[in-house]
Amino acid sequence: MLRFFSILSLFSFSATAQDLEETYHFGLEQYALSNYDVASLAFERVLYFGEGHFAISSLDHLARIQLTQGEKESAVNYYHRAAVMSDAYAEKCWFTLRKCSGMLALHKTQLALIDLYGISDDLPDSIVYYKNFLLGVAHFSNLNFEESRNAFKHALPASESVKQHQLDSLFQVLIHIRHPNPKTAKILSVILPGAGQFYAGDVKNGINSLLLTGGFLFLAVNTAVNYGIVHSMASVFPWFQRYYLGGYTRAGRIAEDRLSEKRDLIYQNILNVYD
Amino acid sequence: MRFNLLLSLLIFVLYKPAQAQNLYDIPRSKEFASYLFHSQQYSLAAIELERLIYLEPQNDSLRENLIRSYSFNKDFATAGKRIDAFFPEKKAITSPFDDLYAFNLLADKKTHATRDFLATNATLNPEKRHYYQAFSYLLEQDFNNSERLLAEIPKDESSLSALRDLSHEGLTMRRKSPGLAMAMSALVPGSGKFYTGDWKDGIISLISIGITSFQAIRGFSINGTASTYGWIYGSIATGFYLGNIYGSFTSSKRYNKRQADKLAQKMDAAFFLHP
Amino acid sequence: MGQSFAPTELRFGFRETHVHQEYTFAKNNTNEVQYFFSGLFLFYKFAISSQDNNSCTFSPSCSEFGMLAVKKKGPIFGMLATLDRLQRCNGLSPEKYAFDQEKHLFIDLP
Repeated sequence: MLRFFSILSLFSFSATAQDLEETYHFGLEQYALSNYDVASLAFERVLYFGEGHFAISSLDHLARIQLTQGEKESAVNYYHRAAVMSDAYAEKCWFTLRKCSGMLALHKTQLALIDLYGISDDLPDSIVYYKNFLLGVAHFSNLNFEESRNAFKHALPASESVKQHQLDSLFQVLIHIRHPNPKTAKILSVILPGAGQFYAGDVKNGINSLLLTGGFLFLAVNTAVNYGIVHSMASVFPWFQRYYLGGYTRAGRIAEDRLSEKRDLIYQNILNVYD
Repeated sequence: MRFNLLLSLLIFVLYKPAQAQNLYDIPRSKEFASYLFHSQQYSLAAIELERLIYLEPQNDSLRENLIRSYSFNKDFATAGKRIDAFFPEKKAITSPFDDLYAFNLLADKKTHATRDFLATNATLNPEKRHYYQAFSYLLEQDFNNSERLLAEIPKDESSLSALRDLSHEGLTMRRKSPGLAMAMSALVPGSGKFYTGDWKDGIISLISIGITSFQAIRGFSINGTASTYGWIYGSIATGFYLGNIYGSFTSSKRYNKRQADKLAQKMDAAFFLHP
Repeated sequence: MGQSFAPTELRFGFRETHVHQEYTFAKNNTNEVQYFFSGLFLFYKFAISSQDNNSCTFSPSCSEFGMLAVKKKGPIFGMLATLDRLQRCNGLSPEKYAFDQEKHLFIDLP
């Protein structure tokens, strides 16, 4: 009988009573199983009843859940709350950095920079490296490649010479990416429609632009001969003008697109260095 | 035997503080559910309240909060289904669930079901009943019935004054005749759109049809019927002319729809701001 | 804290992605008339519209509207609706159309 009672009380202990720690671990388990709704509810409960380590870690997990669901905005909010709630300076900085990462992903580069500059360098190496890494991303977004290179280099121990060298060579390539120049492409297309597109390496649009503007120019001249210059100016010339203007602005845009395509490739390679 | 007694005592002692911390007991769960509800996390609140109602099936304040959570989450159908489960016999429904039931049915645009429910229900106070009845007709844009109903109701029910205005507005709503608009545009291009209120589009149509017909006439007068120029502009002008007649038809339809939408928006505002 | 430095959220591109539009509504044709208009539309998009600055004030653009209208209302009423749309594409009545915040264009469906 007594044995039965002792076993019963053991069971009832695990079945009904759930304290802060158990609720937190339940949340962790559900998080690992990707049951995000159940996990969210458990973490919110810990957050409401508890404080200290469990609450802060719950905020961290709530933020991660939001990130997996693509809700960067609310992940940033949870990380902000975690940073405010933590007492340890290093932990506070870590959550601020996670928040900055979310803001960079939201292209709020300037706001992220403000927070990043507020973090001291007098911290454990891993945090300082992470800070410099995010600074590198932020400067890259702002096209400040010199500062970006410095930050990225300080995000690695100086002893990792292979990776340092990789970074150096990547930035070396990046700084020399000047081709195709959007201005040159534009000017070329002003002189001869399609020339800028050829220069930027876009043959299809080059031929297209040349034929289209050429066709309208021929039509304008033809109408001027048959019906008089006023007629031609009034009805055909505007079409020529439209595709001539469109052609050279497009040439500039194509060149810009090519440039940023190349830059993006370098950016992905920089991230690969840190994987 | 003695060992077993000791063990169960030990477990009981250990169990005590754990129980004091149980985050899933009823008082704490209620507190947590109320926090979720008041911090507007309605979907999480609904999960928590469903669990609580399972533990305390007859608690009306929990039930009310659950229904309100679903309503605030715009899940009117579930809210209605939940009330159905609480009161399988609709005659036994009590306040405030009669009110909530009618509200959720109407919010779900189930106007007929609302009127059927109101016809059999005896608990709802007359002013509320009249409000929901009149509103169900308004939602159907059946302004004759809403006017008739509102005329029978004593004028001192203040919550109905907004509905009286809406009903009157619906009955006297100005509509534009598609036929008249088309006939006007056929006589003078663009004039149909002056009538339907799109006067800027009317001016543009008048000018563009005028210019293209002028060009066509000039083309024909220079080269006779062999003039390609004349044929091209002639067909553009005819196309624009016919298109404008068709456009006057759609413009009047759009005008009428805009008026109806405006009224529907006002109705929504009046309904959801209603206490 | 043992997380990778470069989490997936930072793997974005800085390039303004001109998402290559698939004109699916010009693909699923059921009769010859639709094939004819789809061909016209795709040729216009490929050879002419691609050389132009963005000039339409609406989303979908006038040519896309035309294609959709022909599919929805048939060739005659579809063409009439498009000819009307060309005259309405003047940007003078912003108060009468919903605004697409992402594309910065006014919404007008056939």
